Order: sequence, then C-alpha cells, then structure tokens
Amino acid sequence: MAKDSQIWKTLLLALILFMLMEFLLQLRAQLKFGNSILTAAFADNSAQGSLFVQHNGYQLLAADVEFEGSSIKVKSNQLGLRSAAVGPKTNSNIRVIALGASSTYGAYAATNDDTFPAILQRISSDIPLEVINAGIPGNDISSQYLLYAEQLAALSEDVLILYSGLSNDVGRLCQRNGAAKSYALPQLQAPKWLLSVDLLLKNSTDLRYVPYKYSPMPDLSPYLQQYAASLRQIVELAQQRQVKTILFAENLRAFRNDQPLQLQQQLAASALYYTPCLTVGQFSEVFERYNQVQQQIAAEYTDVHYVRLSEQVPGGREYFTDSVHFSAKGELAIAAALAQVLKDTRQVAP
Amino acid sequence: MSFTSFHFYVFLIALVILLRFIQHNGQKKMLLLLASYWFYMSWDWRFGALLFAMTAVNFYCGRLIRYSARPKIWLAVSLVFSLGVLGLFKYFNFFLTNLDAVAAMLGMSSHINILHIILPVGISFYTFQALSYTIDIYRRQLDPVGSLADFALFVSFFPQLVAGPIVRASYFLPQLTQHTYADSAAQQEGVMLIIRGLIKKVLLADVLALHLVDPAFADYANQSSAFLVLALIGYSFQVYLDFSAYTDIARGCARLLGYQLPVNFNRPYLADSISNFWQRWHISMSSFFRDYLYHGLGGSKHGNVYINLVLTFVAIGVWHGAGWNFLLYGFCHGVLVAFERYMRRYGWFDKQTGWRWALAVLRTFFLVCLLRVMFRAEDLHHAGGYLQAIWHNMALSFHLTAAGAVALLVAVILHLIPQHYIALWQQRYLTIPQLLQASVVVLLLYSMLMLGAGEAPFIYFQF
Repeated sequence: MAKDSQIWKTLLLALILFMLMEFLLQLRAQLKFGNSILTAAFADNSAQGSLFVQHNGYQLLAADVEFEGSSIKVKSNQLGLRSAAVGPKTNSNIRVIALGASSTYGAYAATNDDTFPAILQRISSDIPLEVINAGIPGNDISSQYLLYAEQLAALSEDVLILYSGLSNDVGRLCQRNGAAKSYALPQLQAPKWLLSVDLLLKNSTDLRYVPYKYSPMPDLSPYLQQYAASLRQIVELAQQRQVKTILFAENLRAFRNDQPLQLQQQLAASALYYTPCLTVGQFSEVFERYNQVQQQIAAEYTDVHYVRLSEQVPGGREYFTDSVHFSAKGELAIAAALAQVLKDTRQVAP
Repeated sequence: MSFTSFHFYVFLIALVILLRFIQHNGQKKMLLLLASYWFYMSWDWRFGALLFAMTAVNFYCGRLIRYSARPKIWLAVSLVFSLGVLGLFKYFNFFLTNLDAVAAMLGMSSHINILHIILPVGISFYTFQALSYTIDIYRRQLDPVGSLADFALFVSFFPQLVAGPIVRASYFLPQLTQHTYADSAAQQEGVMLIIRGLIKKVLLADVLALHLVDPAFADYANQSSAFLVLALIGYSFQVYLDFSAYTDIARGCARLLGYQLPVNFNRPYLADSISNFWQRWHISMSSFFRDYLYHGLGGSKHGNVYINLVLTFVAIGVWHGAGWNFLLYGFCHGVLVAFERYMRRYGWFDKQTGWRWALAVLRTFFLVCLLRVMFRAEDLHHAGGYLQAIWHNMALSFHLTAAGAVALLVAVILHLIPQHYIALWQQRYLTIPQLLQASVVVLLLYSMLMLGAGEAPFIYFQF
C-alpha cells in the first residue's frame, strides 16, 4: 500500500494523531477521575478494571474498589455503593437511604465525603443519622427501583430519600424510531468510550443549538406514566419494609426560567447534548412536569413528602458544575436543605 | 449504510485493502458485487430481492431485444416491468389517494386502502440505469453484455447505487471488461473527492439545514420575511451541497476501486438561464431525460417542441417524488425552458457578458430559489403558506445563528470560486508537509463532529 500513494500515508498519520489525542484524553481522565479505558486495559481482573458493574436492568459500582484521580476519589463499599461500609443497623441510629442517579452519587464530588448524602449525615449532629448513598450514574427510575428491590432489601432503613434525577429518563425523548422494526443488517458503531468524540460533542452543544428552531414538544405521557408507575413501586416497596418516611426531592437544574435566555442556554448545554430535540424552555417544562408527577404521587400516600429545594439550591454555576450536577456548594446546600426538612418535620425522631 | 457513517468507512477501507490482493478481474468484480449487495441490504435486506429482479429482467430483456425476432416486445417488457416496479413503490399510493379524493368530490364513496410499503432506497436511480441498458440495445447503440454478473455489478455498483450519478451502461460496462487498477493519482483523487464531499455535506449542507432551512420550513408562520427569503437561498445551497457531496463521495469511492463515474454538477447557480441551469444541475439525470424521453417524444424535430419540453420537465418533477408539488415544480421549469426557447427567436437569452451576464445569473438564481419552495415543502398547501408568510411577515424580527450565517457565506463563496482554483488548492495541500496534512484531516474530523447534525441522511435518498 505504501508505494501506492502519499495520501494513504497522510491518512495513516491522521489516524495516529487521532489516536494520540485520544490517548492523551484518556490519560487526563485517568489522572483526574481515576477511571478511563486505561484502567480496564491494565487491570488484573474485571472488578479492578471497571468502575461500574452491569446487573439486569441497573448498574452498581464494583464492590470494594477505589478509583483515585486528582479531582475525584471514589471508594465503593461492599454493596457497590459510593458510601461507607454498611454494618448491622443499630437502634441508636436512624438509617437513611439516598436513592438516585449521578446527582446523588456526586458526579463532581471530590470524595465520598463531599456527596450530599455524606454531608447530610455529618451535619445532622442533633439527629444520629446513617446515610447510605445509593446513587449510581446512569440508573433511571426503573433501574433505581430494581436496585432498591434487589440490592438494598436487608438494610432496614427508616427513611428513604429519592433524588431520581431526570437525565437518564429524559434522554429517551429524542431517540428516533426506537420501536420501529428494523430489517437493516447490523452496523458497526464507533466505540462508546472514545473520549475525543464524547468530549467534543458535549462541549460544543451551543454550536449546534438553534434558539429559534421550531420543535414540537415530544409526547411526554408515556414517559410520565412510566415515571409515576416506578415511583409508586418504590413507595409501595418502602412501605412494605416499614420505612417511616419517604422524601421525594425536587429534581433540580442549573437553568431557570427567570435567567436571561443566553445564560439558560449556556447552563443547559450539557443537558441538551442528550436531548437535542428540545429547546431550553421545553427542557425546563419537562422538569416541571416530572416534578409535578412526584408531587401527585406523594399526595397519594401518607408519610411520603415532596421536598421543594429550588429556593435553597438556586440555579447557576455557583451551585451546579454542569446542567444538572451539583458543585461543592450545591452539594452542601442540598444537604443542608434536606437536614432542615428532616429536623423541621420531625419525621425521623428516634 | 450512509456515506457519513463510521461503518461505511470501515467497509470501504476493508474493501480497498482486499482488492489490493486480488489479481483476477473476475474475482475482483465478484467481490464488488457482493459488497454492493451487502451495502444495499444494509438498509433493508428485503431490498436485495428487488434489486436482483430488476437486474435479471433487464439483463435477459437486453439479450432478447438483440437476438429475438420481436425486439419491440422485449423492450416493452423491460419498460413495463421496470417502470411498473417504480410506479408500484413510488406512485401507487399517490394515485390511490387522488382517486379517493376525486371519488369524494363526485360524491361517491370509496373504500380504497393505501398500500403499506416503504420506498426502497435509490429505486429511481437504479431503475433508470437498468432501462438505459435495454433502450441503448434497442437503439443499436450498445451490445448486450455476456455476463449477468457484470450487468448486476453495473446496476448495483454501491458508490452510485442509492443517489447516482445515473450511469449509462455504455459508460460503465466497458470499464468492467478491463482489470482496472487505482494508481497513485487515482487514489489521491479518490480520497480528495471523499474529503471534499464530507466537508460539503457535514460542515455546510447539514449546518445550513439545522440553523437556517429546517427552522424556517417547520415554523414559517412565525418567521420574518427576510429570514424566510434567506432560508430559501440557504435551501438552494443546502440541496446543491448535499447532493453534490454525495456525488463527490461516490466518485471518490469509485476512483479508489479503480473505476470512473461521471461529473454530475457544474456550478449550477452560475447558470444564466433555466435551460442552462439544467445543463449544469444533476447532469446525469437531465441528460437521461433529454436522450430517452425528450428525444423519444420527438424533441425539436417531431411534434410540438414546447409541449415536448413541458412534458419532459413534468416527468423530471415527478421523478423526484409522488406529489402535486413535484409535478408543479417540473411544470414550472418546463414552461420557463419552453419560454426561453421561444424567446430566443427574438434574441432573448442569448449569451451575455459583463453585467448583463451577472444580471441573467441573478435572475436565474432567484427563479430557481423561488421554485425550490415546492421542492422542499411537504405539499402544495405548505408551499403556498411559505410564500404567503414571506409576503405577510415583514414586521417580525430576524434571527440567524453565527454558524448558519458562516455556512451560507462559505457556500456562496465556494460556489463562485472556479473549479480549477479548488483543484489548485488541493494540489497545494498535497505539497505541504505530511504531518500538517494529517493535522488538517484531524481538525476537519473534529469540526465535523462539533458542527454536524449526527448522521443526517442525504436529501436525494428519498428519491
């Protein structure tokens, strides 16, 4: 081939440059977050090589592993949660499970202690709380129910806090022809772990965003029904386990309707990456509709409370690192707000 | 398997590498035939049978036209079968829907059920290719090919299978008789054509669609007149860039495989009349209609030349899609071309130079843009609504993103630059250090990722 044409050499060189860039990005991810494709490549066994383990319908962290980067240190417990080891429940403690997705997990929290469930445990000094962080990135509401049902059955918690997050549910809104029967032959896809592609796409949504585009609001009904059904399943399972208090935390976002449109677009950029069919206004509406469902379901049951958090955790970069994930200040604010709710309502007095 | 997908480039590179190890021309053609069917069936494996049926019927009709005593009958069989299949998949539901509407207008109840069939990708293109073979044999302009495999490869050759250029049998079949090899220059040309096509498609056409054209056509009632006019201009460039990008990539792939495909565009928006526009736009299709329909109807020698022209352009319009908007699109072009032909008697539309030429180009461009409303709108109702909105929405504010504005500006500038300058730039690019060349490729790839709208399908796939 080499003798044929210089152009092949150029293309080969371009491929090498692309791979070099990819390697540098993976190295950065490894150094910063302690997790990249390199981890898997150099691990002795699969548990060491991958931070996440797939189960049927949900995922967990690999049990008892530690991933350390300069920005984030993640240490999992024996259950595969980003939490301290869980021992037998004592009568002196009130055990709280914080169930959710990446926001509960602490996508940008530097250590386990900087996630809002850990902070909640620390700052509730007058109430002896033991808060178990059961937030796992990528788990949607159905996955959260499955995880709660299958992995957390024996924990005898007193309080369940659900911060479901919406990204994993809302992401499906813009998927096309998902249900259509396909007669196409199978096709190769670019590897999902390619950071050069992922980072470029995530950091350039504003280049592809058209503020004046007309895009009809997708029909939310089936998604909201599914969300409501999963919430009911979680509540009913918690009540079977005789959980005393269930808190539905308001799903929060960095962009709010009272901000200038330009700022909203900037703050919503990473969320719009997953839902390119929505405008910022529509995305806000989706959040409102999902939160309304939480309110409705909470009203159907006793001991289920919907907790408004948007005043204590306002939008903007101060409280959010990206569109939906908390900054350090955001983690503190949500923990303080939840502690106050627990204290004020006296729902958890031992 | 779109030309902009990761899968396609893995497929293409694997094929090019495999072909390097094959010395025998028959084996090379067999591999290309298998690859072409794989390519086509990657959309829907059921389409493979249709493609094979179209191939087999026309192959045997070609032989019978030459060797039987009744060539007309076998030409008729070829025409009825090929156009029948095209009609069934593309026009039958349109016919039924209109029949239903007419019945309703006459107060008759009808119980017509439309067919639930999908339009096979590229059917208009390969049907015409297959027909060119039998018609040319009938006209004694071509000898029947001896090998079914060669003919099957001609019909299914994957670079041009789904959106052209429409290649004549007389152009492509002779290439199959030689063991063609992509030399260094051909490979270079092929890769450069593919890169050029990707830039046109992903960086320009798709950006124009996302930022300018789609918002305007999706919500024309709430967009300002200026934005709607700009979107029409944008659409004209989008459809040109999108389609010529496909042709560039198709030609580039063919060059890499050792074959040639014809040029399909010649800066169409520099045409100084509508008839000149059709000599520059989708050349393989317009020449097909000229040679096989217009001349068949009598051309300028038999019958009424103006009616022949209008009928030919109506057929061109309908070829693009089953809808009154496409029919009217073709009719308007036909009337304009006929008008130009008539007025040439009085010295109008003669070759101009200087500012008169510039004015003629502008006049032609804006006429083409205006008629594109029918091409882009879902139907005549929406086309009319769009034109009304241009008239009424003077007071509304004008929006345009920077990306949309830049894409339009670059599209216009690139169109104005003569082809030989672009060729010169390509040559210069190949003389810079290879590391720099490679960096440009990577930069382009990253730009495509950032600005691209995913794997947006090519516009002409629907035809």
